[in-house]
Amino acid sequence: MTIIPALFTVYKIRQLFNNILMSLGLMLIIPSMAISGGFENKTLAQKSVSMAGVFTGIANDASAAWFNPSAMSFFEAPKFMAGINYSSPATSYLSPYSGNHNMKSVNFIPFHLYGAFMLNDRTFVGIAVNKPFRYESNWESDWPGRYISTYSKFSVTSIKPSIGYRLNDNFSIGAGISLNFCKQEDTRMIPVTSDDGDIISTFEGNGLAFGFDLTASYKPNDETTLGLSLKSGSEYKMDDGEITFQRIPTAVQEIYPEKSDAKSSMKTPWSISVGMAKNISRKLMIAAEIKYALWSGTDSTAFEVKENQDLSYGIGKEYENSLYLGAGSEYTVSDNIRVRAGVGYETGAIKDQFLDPRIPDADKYIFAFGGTFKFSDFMSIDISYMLENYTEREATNSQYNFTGNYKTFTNTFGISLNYEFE
Amino acid sequence: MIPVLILAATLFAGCSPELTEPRYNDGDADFSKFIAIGGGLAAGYGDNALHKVNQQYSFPAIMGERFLKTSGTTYLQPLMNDGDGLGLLNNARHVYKLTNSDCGAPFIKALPISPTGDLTNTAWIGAAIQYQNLSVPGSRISDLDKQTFGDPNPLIGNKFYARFASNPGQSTVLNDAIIQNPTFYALLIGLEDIYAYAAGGGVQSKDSITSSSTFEAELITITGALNSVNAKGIIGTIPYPNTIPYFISIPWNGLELDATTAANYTQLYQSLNPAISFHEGFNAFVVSDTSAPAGRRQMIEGEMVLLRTSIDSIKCHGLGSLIGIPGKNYLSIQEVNEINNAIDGYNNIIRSTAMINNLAVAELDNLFNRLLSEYTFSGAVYSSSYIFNSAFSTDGFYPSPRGNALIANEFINTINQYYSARIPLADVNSYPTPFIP
Repeated sequence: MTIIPALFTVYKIRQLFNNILMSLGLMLIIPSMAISGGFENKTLAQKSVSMAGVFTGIANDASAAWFNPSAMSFFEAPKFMAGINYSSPATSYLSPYSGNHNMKSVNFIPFHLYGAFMLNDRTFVGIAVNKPFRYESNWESDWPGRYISTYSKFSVTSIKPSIGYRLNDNFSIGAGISLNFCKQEDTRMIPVTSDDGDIISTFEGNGLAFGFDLTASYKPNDETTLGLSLKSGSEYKMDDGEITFQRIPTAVQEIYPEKSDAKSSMKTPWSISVGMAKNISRKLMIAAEIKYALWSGTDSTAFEVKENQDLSYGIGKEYENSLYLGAGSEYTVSDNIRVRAGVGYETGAIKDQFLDPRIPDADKYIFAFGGTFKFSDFMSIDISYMLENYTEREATNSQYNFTGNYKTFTNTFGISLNYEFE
Repeated sequence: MIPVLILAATLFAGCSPELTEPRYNDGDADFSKFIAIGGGLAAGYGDNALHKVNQQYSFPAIMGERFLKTSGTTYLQPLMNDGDGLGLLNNARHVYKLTNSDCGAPFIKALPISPTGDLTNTAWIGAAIQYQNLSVPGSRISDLDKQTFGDPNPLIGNKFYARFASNPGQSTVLNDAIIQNPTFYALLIGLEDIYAYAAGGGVQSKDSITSSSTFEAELITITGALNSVNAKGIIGTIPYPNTIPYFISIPWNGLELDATTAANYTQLYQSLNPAISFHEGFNAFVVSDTSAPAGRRQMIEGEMVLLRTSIDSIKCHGLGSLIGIPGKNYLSIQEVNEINNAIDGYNNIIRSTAMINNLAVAELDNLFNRLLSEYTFSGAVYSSSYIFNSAFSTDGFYPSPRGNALIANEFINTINQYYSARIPLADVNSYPTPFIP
């Protein structure tokens, strides 16, 4: 590569960075602007978790295969990681009529597998398997919102092969294509009530969608890295779903089938992340990240009941784009031990009049810490803890005329095992 | 390491955020002694009977339960015994049953749950107990200050008042209210004064509409008596028949005919003067009308078929087509106008009396009007339809417990505004609803 195009590229990238940073900065000073959230899973690898989600600019372990494949090409040897997280969200709903109602416990135990393989000294290929999107809510069957939702779940399992290519000592690019499997469940009560109780309606569906990402890393010097990641959205069509109705009164058996083919669709958003990491001393690294997620492109969900279209129902949704800001640092205690901490803030993606108890989203503060213990030349473990503290939110959903205050916090613990050739 | 994580996680599990309830208050009112006076609707009459389940969720009982958040105390009602209750005609409460049709698919019909009502309920339970819900099914406004209304002889008094009157035959509903020194009251009276006539088919019924001058005089007496003990209060307005399933669930033009039947009927009625012709689809019902030249005519828009008309007879036995719907089963346009005019008059009197006495007005007629189009509450739809999505009990006239909660919320909303109070509304969906068979 000649020097001219390389410089040109660097110039262009800088310009792009400037533009993005400027637009993100502009968004920050517009107070009504809400930032991201929605149902993205932040517990995808422990270094990221322990720095409150900051990793795009760091991307120095195998999880770069997910966060920023371009950074793999700066590795000197292959890296692998396997890990698991445990999240227990706790949500309370304050009814204007009947006080506090706590969501039943939902435990989320996502795993992740990452590998970065060296093809040559400029090129790495990566593989990432994880669960990048997910929501789950589980309410008592007699709670005030039972005609909206008693149980709902949407989770995406992603398999993403990727490639990172180093253009020169300072600059690399990467790309990945993800194959995403989703699973959706949606259970609610219908106010057609026999002496057995309300009708129970349960939708279950699976879908498949592709996605991709484009990433870039820039190392102006040995102490500084910048990362950029653009992730595509995906659209999941669950055409082969099924809906079941239970406790159907005899008088309406002609209307409600016990079981019917059904379909639904879901979208996950496009997003762009910009991160930076800097070693400010031999022992201390600081990092920051901004992420902008285009939730506004993900619209309403319709559950279509094929045997009786009259029973089809929809979840009206209007998301707004969300902004995440995070900062973290890593301190090298000794050759074997590193500790990390981070803070973050993310805006909720769901507007008040569309907030429903399936996803009690809100602006949230993130506090996290963790560390790495290296117990051989090749192996180390990362552990992490993260608290996502959602701000209390009062909202009236206009579709359901459902009012209340929501408050959520999520505790997440995690452990990952790294195997790195040095 | 993983066990440690799980241990740490379980420490957090079961720990949920607590949200703080707002501070509720009485505002300018005082709900420490809340009483209700009224007729069947306020008593919690429903499913064609006074029975315990519906009584427990009468709108005054729901209000009383809400007032517990501030100054209220346990709300005492003259509850019926467990079981099937007792109707005005000594019948048992009605439930929806899947009923065989003489000519088609089974259909849902409200039928008594047992052959007779529970007459043991007429035993006197009024000794030394001050009931806060003094509403009596079947009471007209002038009954409230009438001693004979509580006479134990059912030919003289009302069995529903006689059972809890403080001194049957001597005490009056109004006095039983006044002696409690109520701080606040809800009054919903006047439905029986009009609807005994309306539900009985108008002029064919044995009842008449209480004149508005009587209504006004009585209302002044009642509010004056309650004023004398410094009670504040709220009065409900009277809903119109075109917002109640009993009068609208069988539409005036609900005679559905196929082309052949329509042609046959047209031929049959050709000799009638004036002749009646039918067409495929929905036609106006044929009613008996002695004032019509041929004694029979088709209904016109605005007229109402009463819910007690047998749908199976319409479908299978030519009622409303070959046979005219009898006068006691429908309201002619004159009768509907007479009823609407009377309600207009009552509601004007209610509003002006309330204004003079500084009382709040719960616009029930407005609420019932809003239910004509669907009203969503926490994901459930309520309307003035019959059986499904209905705010009404199996009788199609009195509200179900959920309908009572909607009414209680209308009262509470008004109270919150008028008296600058903060009383929480009722969670409508948490109350029972008639079972679909």
